[in-house]
Amino acid sequence: MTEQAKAFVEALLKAAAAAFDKLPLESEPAQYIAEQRKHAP
Amino acid sequence: MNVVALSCRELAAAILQKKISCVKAMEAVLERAHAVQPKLNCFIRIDADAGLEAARAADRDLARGFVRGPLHGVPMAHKDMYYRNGVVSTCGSKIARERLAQTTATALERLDAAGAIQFGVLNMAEFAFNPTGHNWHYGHCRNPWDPKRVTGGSSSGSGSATAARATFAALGSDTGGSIRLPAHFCGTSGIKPTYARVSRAGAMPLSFSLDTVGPLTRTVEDAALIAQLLAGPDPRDPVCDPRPVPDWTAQLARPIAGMRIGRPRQYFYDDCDAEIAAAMESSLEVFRKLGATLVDVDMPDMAAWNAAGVLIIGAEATAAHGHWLRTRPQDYSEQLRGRLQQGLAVPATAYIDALRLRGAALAEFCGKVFSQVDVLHAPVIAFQTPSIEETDIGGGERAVKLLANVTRLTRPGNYLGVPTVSAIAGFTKAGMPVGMQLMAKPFDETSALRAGHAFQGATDWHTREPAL
Repeated sequence: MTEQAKAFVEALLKAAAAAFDKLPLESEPAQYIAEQRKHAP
Repeated sequence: MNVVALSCRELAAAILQKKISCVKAMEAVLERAHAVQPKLNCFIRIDADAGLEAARAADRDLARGFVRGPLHGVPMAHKDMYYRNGVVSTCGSKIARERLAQTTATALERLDAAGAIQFGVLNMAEFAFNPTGHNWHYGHCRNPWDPKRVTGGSSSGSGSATAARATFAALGSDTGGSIRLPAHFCGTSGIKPTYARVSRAGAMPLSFSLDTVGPLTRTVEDAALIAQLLAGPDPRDPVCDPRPVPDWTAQLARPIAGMRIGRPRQYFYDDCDAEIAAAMESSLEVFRKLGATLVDVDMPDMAAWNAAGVLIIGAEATAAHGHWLRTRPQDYSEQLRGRLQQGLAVPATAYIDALRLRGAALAEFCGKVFSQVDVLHAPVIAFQTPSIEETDIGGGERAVKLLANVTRLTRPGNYLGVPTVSAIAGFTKAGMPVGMQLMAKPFDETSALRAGHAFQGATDWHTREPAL
């Protein structure tokens, strides 16, 4: 793994860190599909 | 009649009314395809004989009164990642150059059933993982408005050939902007439907959580027509949504007076080129004159969602390519190999957090944006169309920054999975098209399509043809 790849991913993690930190214990990927359907017209 | 300038709907009507035969339509588009190919390199393969034979069969069907469907006899070429059983799909790669497909994509089956005739396959970014349209195996695809400039990607050939009148429409795919970017750069229409609205079965996967199938077209009306044929449940795609598809084409004629169109206050106009911003303002004024209400909307933290989207595509694409990355690394271009190696650096927890965040992100986006507006209007990209040469930078740090910048305004739409129509909103002083995004809430393709169609009824940007 190159230093450049590590730096790139570190920058992404930094950008998303605050949002990830706010995730409640119960969050799971399947909630996306439920949310998608909830907002369907 | 300038056959190749017709939209899919117009050509289908002309064929049905026997103003033109399927063979004549095929001959016209083949002539155009052969004429532009040396300049644009938008095709990977032109199947002239098969296309003509299929067109003759379509004419025979019509002569005996059998109409296959709403696209009877309409010639199309598609991004070379839609599998047809027994035929090579290169996926724009060296690795799959001789790989025969073992199945036929649902999208192709549905277009076949509607009467469309495939006559070739189109250039694309290697494994659909590049947003500029460069391809170091098959040659870079070129922009019909200025062949020195990029087409956008990854559906580079779909944008270039559709704009050049070398196909009447084309399938693209959109994982981070790959329909909307070539639609912007090449001046076509298109739609990235809601994630899971259209089956991905038999389409080359890039990132299964984000991949979306959709068309690039000359008009939004054609985008509605084709997307409608593609959409709907498919037992071959486990995530494909089961809900029925509304009659989008029938909804297009409804006036948009009273529709609320959002103008983002943050993110989408950060560092935006002045000419692109001006084109966006002019297009908003068109919507206002059509009776829409313009609403300035505060955006949530789009940068975090953009980053989450990059983490997902990085991890999923690298996992999908793991075997070849280990056994045939030399057969990837330098740029793609570098991008896939980045995926190895994504921690499993970060990938999972990016997926865990997605539901909350969509809830927040719908709450903040779609509680106030029906459609969110935004630019596709913040800078003017670069040249192929200046962006032909392979891998390395410069490439990483460039690629991230190209998809900055489109990737959040994939992360959220919202339907987005692309339509041309104007031209720059240099004569290059400027596209706009029209985003709607999940499964509300209708609103985005209505807005785009109404805009094209009031403007003629989409009717301009590149001089080749």
